[in-house]
Amino acid sequence: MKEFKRSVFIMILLLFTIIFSSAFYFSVFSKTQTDLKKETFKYLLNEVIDISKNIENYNKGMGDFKTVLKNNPLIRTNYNNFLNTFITANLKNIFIVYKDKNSKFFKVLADGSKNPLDRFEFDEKFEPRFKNKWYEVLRNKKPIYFRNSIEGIWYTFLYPVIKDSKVVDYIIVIDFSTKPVLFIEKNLKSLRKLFMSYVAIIIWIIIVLAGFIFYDLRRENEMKKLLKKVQEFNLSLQKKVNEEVQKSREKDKQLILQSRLALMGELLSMIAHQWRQPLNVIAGVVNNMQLDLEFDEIDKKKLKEYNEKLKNTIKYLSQTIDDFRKFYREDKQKELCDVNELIEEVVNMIKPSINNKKIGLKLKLNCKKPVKVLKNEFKQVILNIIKNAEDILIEREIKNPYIIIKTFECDNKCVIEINDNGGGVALQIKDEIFKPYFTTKDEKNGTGLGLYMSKNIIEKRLNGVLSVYNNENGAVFRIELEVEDEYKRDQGNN
Amino acid sequence: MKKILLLFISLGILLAFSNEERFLFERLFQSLFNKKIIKIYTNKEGAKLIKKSRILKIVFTCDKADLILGIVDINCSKPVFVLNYYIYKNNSNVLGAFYWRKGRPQLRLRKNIIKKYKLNLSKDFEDFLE
Repeated sequence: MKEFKRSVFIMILLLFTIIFSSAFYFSVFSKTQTDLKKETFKYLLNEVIDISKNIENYNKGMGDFKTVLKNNPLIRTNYNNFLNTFITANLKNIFIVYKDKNSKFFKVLADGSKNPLDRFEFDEKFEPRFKNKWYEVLRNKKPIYFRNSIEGIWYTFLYPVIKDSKVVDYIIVIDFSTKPVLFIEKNLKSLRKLFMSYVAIIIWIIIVLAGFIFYDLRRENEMKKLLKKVQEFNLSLQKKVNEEVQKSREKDKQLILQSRLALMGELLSMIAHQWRQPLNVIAGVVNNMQLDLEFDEIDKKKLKEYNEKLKNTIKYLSQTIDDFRKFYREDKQKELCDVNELIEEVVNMIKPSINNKKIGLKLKLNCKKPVKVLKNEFKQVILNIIKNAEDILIEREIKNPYIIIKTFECDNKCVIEINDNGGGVALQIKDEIFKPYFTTKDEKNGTGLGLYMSKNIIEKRLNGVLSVYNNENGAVFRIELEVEDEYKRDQGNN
Repeated sequence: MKKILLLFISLGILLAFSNEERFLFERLFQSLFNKKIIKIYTNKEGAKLIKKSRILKIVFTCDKADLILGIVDINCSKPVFVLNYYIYKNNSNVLGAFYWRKGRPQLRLRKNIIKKYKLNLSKDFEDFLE
C-alpha cells in the first residue's frame, strides 16, 4: 500500500511538473512569439520611416516642393519615377497627398505607381478610407500607421511633412506589406503546434505509464493477498494434516489394541495347551501322593521328591503366566534384542497349540546381529504370521503341514522369513492382504487387522519392510530389519 | 498553398467590394431619385455590379431607365454615372463617378448636373459634391 501511494505521488508530481513546465515554456514561447512579431513589424516600420525621411529630405532639396510640381509637368513625371524606385514586393504604394485648409478633399501631388489605371493624376481629388486617421495626422502632425482594409497584409503609413514647424505641408503615404510578420507568425504557429504535440505526447506517455504502474501495483497487491491466503491455507492445511496424523496414530494404537484383543482368545487357548501338561503332572503327583499315603509307603525322601516336582511344575505355570502377561505390556521404547530369542519366545507360547494340531515347526535361526525393536510389538507380528499360517494349514487341510521360520543376515539387514506349505497367497489378493479389514477367514476367526497391523508395526514403527511372496510350497512372509547402527559401527571399526 | 490562400483572400475582398459598390449605388441612387426601385440602363461592367440588387433594376431600353450606369453607345438624355475617373473628368455632363484608386473606393458627384436633372441628394453624400 505504501509503494502504491508513493508511486501515485511520484506520478502526480511528474504530471504536474510537466504541465507547469509546459505552461512556463508555453508562456515564454508566446512572449517570444509576440516579441518577434513586434520586432519584425518594427523593423518593417523603421524601413518605411527611413524611406519617408529620405523622400522628405529629397523633397526639401527641391525647394518649394508643391509649387515646383505644379509648375513643371516634366519634373512631376521624373518625380513619379523617383517614387517608383522605392516600390518593392513589400512596399505596394507610395504617393504624396496634401489638403488645403479650405478644401474638403485631399489632393494627390505625386504617385509612384506604374499602373496607369491605378495611378493618381496630379492634383486628383482623393477620398481616403479611415478618414479620421488622416485628419489625426493633420491635427497631431505626427506619423501614424494603421491596418488597411486588406486584412493583415497591408498597412498604411502616413508621414506628415511639416512646413515652418506649424502646418502639415503634405503627407507621404506608403502602403506596406506585413507578409514577413505573417510568415514568421505562421512558422511560429507550426512550432507551437509541434511543441504542444510534444507536450501532449509526453503527458499521454506519462498517463499510459501511470496506468501500467497502477495496473502492475494492483496485480502485485492482488498477488500478495493471494499469497497470504495461500500461506493461511497452507497453515490450516498443515494443522489439519497434523490433526489427521495424530488421529491416524490414535487409530493405529486402537487397532493395535484391537488386534491384540483379538489375539487374546488365541492366547487363552495357547495357555490352556501350555497348562494341560503341567496340570497333568500335578494331578499325577497328587495321585501318587494319595496312593503312597493309602499304602503307607510315603517317606521323607518321596515327599521331598514330590514337593520338588510340584514346585518345578508350579514355577513353570507361573512362568507361562508371566510370558503371556509380558506380551500385553506396552513397549515404551525400542530395545536392542536378539531376534532369534524373541522368535523362540513366541514359538514357546504357540508350540503346544501347533503340536496339538499336528503341524510341524522348524527353526533355522542364523541372524546373529542384534536389532533395535519394540519387543512385544515384534513378537505380536511373528505370532500373527505364525497364527495365519496355522489357520491356513488347518483350513486347507494340508497333509504333513509345517511352518519353517528362518533368520539370516543380508546386506546389513536381519531377514526373517516365515514359510508354510499352505499353497501360498492368491495373486489377485496379494496386494490386498495388508489392507485393513481384509480377511479370507470367516467372521468368527478373522478381524482383517492382523496383517495390516503387522505391516504398520514393521514399516512405520520399526522402520523395516514386510513383504510376501510365494515359493513352490506356499507363502513366505519376509521381514527385513536394519541391523543396529552401533553394531554396524563396531563392525566397521573392526 | 500561399498562392491559393492569397487568391481566396483577393476573391473575398473583391466580393466584399462588389457588395460595397452595390450598397453604395443603392443608397446613392435612392437618395438621388427618391424612389424605392431605380431602373438602370447599363453596360456589361455596370450590370455585373448591380445584377444582384433588388433595388436597382436593369432595363434594356434607355427610355425606361432613370439612370445610365457606365458608357453606353446611344443618345439618351438620362443622367449618366460612370465607373472611370478619366471619363468623368473629360465629360462635364456626367453626373458622377465611382472608381478605385490603390484599393480605395472613390466617389465623385457634380452639383450642377444634379441640379440640372432636379435630383435630390442626402447629406451623407454632400462631402463628395464638386
